[in-house]
Amino acid sequence: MRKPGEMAVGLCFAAIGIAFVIGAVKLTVGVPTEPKPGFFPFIDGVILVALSALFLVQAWRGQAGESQPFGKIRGPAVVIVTLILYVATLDTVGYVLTTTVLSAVVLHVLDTKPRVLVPVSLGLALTSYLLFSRLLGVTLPPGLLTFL
Amino acid sequence: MGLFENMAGGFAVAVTWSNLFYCAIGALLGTAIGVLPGLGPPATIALLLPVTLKMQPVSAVIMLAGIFCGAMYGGSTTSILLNIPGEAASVVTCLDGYKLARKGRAGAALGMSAIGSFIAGSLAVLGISFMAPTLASFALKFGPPEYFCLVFLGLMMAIYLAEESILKGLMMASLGLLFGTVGLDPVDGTHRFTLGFDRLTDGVDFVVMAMGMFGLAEILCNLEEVEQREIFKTALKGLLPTADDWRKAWGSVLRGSLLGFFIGVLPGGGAIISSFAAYAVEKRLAKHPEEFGHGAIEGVAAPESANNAASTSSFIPLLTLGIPGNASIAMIFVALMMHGVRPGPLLLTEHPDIFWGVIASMYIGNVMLLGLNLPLIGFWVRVLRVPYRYLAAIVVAVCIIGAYSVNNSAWDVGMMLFFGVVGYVLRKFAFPAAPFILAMILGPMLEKTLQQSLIGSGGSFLTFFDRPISATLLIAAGLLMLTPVAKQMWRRYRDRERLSVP
Amino acid sequence: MGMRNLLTKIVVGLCVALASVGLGVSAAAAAEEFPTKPVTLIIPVGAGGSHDLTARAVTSVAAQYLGQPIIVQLKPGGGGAIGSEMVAKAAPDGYTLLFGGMGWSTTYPAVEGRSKGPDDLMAVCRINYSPTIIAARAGAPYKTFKEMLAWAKANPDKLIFANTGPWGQADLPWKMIGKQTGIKTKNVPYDGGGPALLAVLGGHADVTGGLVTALLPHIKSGKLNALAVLDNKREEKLPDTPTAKEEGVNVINLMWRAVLAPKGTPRPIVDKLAQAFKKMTEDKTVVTMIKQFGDEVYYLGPDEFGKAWREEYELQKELGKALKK
Repeated sequence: MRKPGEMAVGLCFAAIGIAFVIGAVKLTVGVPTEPKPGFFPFIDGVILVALSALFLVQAWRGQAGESQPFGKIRGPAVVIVTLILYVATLDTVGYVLTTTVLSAVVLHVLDTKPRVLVPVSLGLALTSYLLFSRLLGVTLPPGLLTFL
Repeated sequence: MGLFENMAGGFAVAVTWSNLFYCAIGALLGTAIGVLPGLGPPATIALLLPVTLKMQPVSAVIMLAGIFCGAMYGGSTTSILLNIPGEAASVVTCLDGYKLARKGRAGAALGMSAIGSFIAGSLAVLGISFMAPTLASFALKFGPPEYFCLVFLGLMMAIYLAEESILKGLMMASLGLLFGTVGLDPVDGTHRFTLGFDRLTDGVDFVVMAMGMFGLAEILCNLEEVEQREIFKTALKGLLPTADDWRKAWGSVLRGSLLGFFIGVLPGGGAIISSFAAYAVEKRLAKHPEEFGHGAIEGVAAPESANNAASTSSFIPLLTLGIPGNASIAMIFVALMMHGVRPGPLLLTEHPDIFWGVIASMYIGNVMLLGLNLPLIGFWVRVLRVPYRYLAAIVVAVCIIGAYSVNNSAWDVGMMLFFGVVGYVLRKFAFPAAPFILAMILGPMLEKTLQQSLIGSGGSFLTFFDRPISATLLIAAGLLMLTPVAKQMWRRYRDRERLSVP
Repeated sequence: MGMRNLLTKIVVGLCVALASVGLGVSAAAAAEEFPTKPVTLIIPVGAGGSHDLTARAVTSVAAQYLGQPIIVQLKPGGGGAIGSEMVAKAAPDGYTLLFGGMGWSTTYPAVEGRSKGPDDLMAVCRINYSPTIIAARAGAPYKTFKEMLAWAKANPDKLIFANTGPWGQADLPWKMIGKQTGIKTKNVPYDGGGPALLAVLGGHADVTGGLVTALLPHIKSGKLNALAVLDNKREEKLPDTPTAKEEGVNVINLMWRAVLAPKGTPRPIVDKLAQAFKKMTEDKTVVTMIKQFGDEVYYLGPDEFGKAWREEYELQKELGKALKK
């Protein structure tokens, strides 16, 4: 039985290996007596491509080991998208507001009642901000809430 | 002056009320920052430097050493409870520690880690007081070829970190090596694979990657099944390791301490390599190696003992050669400098009080840390009773702060997200994360030492075989590489035989 | 002055003028009141290095002489490029300053065209510097700089030099020495001063270049021989070690530490800062602290240092072209 998921992963590995090999050749590989910047990545890349090929063969034959099936990917997907937005807005909007929204999304995905959701997210964002930036001296972006 | 007089002198320096107080403060702070992944020991020590200026030099070092060792104790806490390795040396602890926690045995894992650390720390302090100068000359014997072979050996241990498929482990290791080349070339400073981002010139920070691949990936996996809310078994059995655990693990603690002590003397990746090495050795020696990765108590005992012994012995190059072996020790070095004490070959003759005072205070620090950490276990275990949804939100926030604080930039948060998603997908296909992380940390060292060796030898690979230490290490690596492959082939052969019998 | 420079000046000038009109205060008045809030000093490299140490020592008394505290912020990354670029982009109002060093403020922009140099930043003042010292392991068959050169000439590609990283405190001057004298050696990169020193102490390399603070204890204990000082004058703590110049090799390498500001910071503000820093470096506690690091204070004002910095930059630009082949 072929394993399409495994094969896709194997192809990704191989593609990354090939990309690094091409990059290494562009950086010049050199010879063992005079290694150039591409020397080490070139060898690694070739090894990775070879290992991926072996893995692809195994996946084709259906022996590439176990894998867990993907469950409902809605939850992780929603959180990943929120995190992307989070990273994009962190510096301008600031830690407290973005983290409140993010925590709310995480809590919502995990089926939290809206009644608890808002105070908990806001509380978490605020306490973590105050704890780290005031007590521990970690600089976190205040963003819009400049008074913090 | 004999050794015992020296030690007695050291204790006389360390055991004053004020120094004991500073030692306690350091241990407490260290444990706290070890648990909070946002702050590493180097950053904390840097923060406290101005404060130490007003203290006696001995007191200052005692407090800072307390922070450093405390962070090592505390670092395993998040690995076990939340699958977030606070520092590189506790990556391996995640493998079995977190599994134990999910089985409801967090207390046993935390207890084993604290007591193992205490034993390892005590042995290492004894080791330092007896043979610091000898060990310094041992460290000096390690040139580029020796380092290369040691790192190579460490990398081969990635095989032992792979749960079931060696092939997957090797693929992850080579991927990690490739990612490790991102940044500046070690020889001529060429930019490699930075895709034009200045942020990538220093490569990817360990904290960022580990929090993504372990902490965040774990959360993402758990977000799939809303129904399956009980991530941790609520019935928490015993807060301390059982007699059965001890029977299994006491050998691991001793072997881990020994390995950690000797590898830790080498500046650079000492603590990291030793924790991986200790884990690999235990898995190799275990009667039931298949338990590793599914909550084997030895898998917590060995690496935790090793990294604590290593963090203690990493003081040796500082005290005897004046060369700090890692970032935290570098900050302690700075603190000494600010007090006008220059660690190095002259320290023992110029400031014997500091040398022996530090060693004695490390011992006292170990006792204090044990006293502090054992009662804390009950508290940590209770943390796991917090409903998972709140725990998840807290872990995400902590990971973000940890990543952000590396360079104070949102870029690193983005990188953590990237590694989190990669880790999540790969986990679905049962690709192990630990070999990737190990390779990524060791990759730059491997490449650098390879190039240094080749430049030094004029391009001859023979240099690795000419030198006794490097040759021994290479042979060990070769054996390590071959045994599991042979084992797997044998098993497959046997299975086929069995299947072919009707 | 280049066209681009002039343009930048005009644009910046206009902006400043507009801003001050809008706020109803003149630039001079702003300078007089400066500083009205804490000043941020960005250190673009990691904690615990000599730059971090020096900056912390000097700014510890800032409030006393500037009227406002100076907040030290670490923004490491890209070997100093990240922090340098942040400051170059910051408002030129004197509230955001950079702690400059030769690597990220001269060498990288001159040789590799990254990070920010004298084209994008301006000098406030230099705090001090440490010259590179060339030292050999005790067992080496040469005891002086001249003997080493002769030995290296007679044995091409035999001498192993341990540098502290590409284009760093040891690599750059060693390449310059090689270029001037024609000696051929193996130049092996290490991860900073500590590992390079360790390699020489362990006999895995023969010669290295480092700062006096790191090398001195090993020179005193007889494990290392100081060969030459890469400065215009001899080093106080090594009175018997000649400068390379005395030995006929004109290579000077000073690892300086200086305060830099974004280009276009008004002159009165720069002067005010420079004056304050001068007083800070004369403060007794600061002087003792810097002495304890093994360094001295060598203050240089905005004009003198600006000129020296520009010259160094142009020189390394040429060198970079020549050394990269």
